[in-house]
Amino acid sequence: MNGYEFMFILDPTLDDAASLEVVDRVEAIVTAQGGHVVSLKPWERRRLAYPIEGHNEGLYMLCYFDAPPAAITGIRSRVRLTEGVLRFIVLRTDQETRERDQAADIRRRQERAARAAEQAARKQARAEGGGPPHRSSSPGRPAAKESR
Amino acid sequence: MSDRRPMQRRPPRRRSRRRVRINPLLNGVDRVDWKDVDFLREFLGDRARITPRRVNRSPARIQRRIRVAIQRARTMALLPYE
Repeated sequence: MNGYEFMFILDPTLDDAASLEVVDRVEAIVTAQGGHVVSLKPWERRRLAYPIEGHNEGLYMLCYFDAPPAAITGIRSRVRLTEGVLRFIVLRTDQETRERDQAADIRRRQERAARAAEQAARKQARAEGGGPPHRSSSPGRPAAKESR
Repeated sequence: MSDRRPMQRRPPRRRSRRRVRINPLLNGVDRVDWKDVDFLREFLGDRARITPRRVNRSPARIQRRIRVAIQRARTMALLPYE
């Protein structure tokens, strides 16, 4: 049995029920091929770096599973044909790396949330006025003369 | 025959090797996670091309991992191709 990291992108326009169906189908594929799903969670709903099948955003799901190596080609081919799955990737990992990645993922999420909250707070404070005027609102410096 | 000047042999020039200063961002980095978009984005230029080692100041080992990670992220539309 080897550890695998598996991420797939769901059609974001599906309603909750349909999305759930697709996810269940994918999970069933893994299990049917002899795999054992360790975790299967939504990862992020985000904008795609380029359009895929006409979509500009997607719902990313991240799954970790263990399976015998012979099962992988079967899983890949079946997932590829699954409606609702726009893209996927299956990679080898091991327990240790998997745990580190999950921890790192959680950490990054927290950092991002903290940064976003800070920015929102700053924006709020600026909107309410007070404090030194923003640099852009004062007349600019005269351009420096060329030295020769 | 006229006299030829004996060939001058120049002393072999020693090439100066300045110590490569490691990119602080890459300090202690061992595993490059293809899912870590924020980290990888630093290594993409304005045309979304992977910046060379010269520019990243990255060790060869890590640059290879960065490249693999970026390519994976690209296939999953986490990073652009262009």
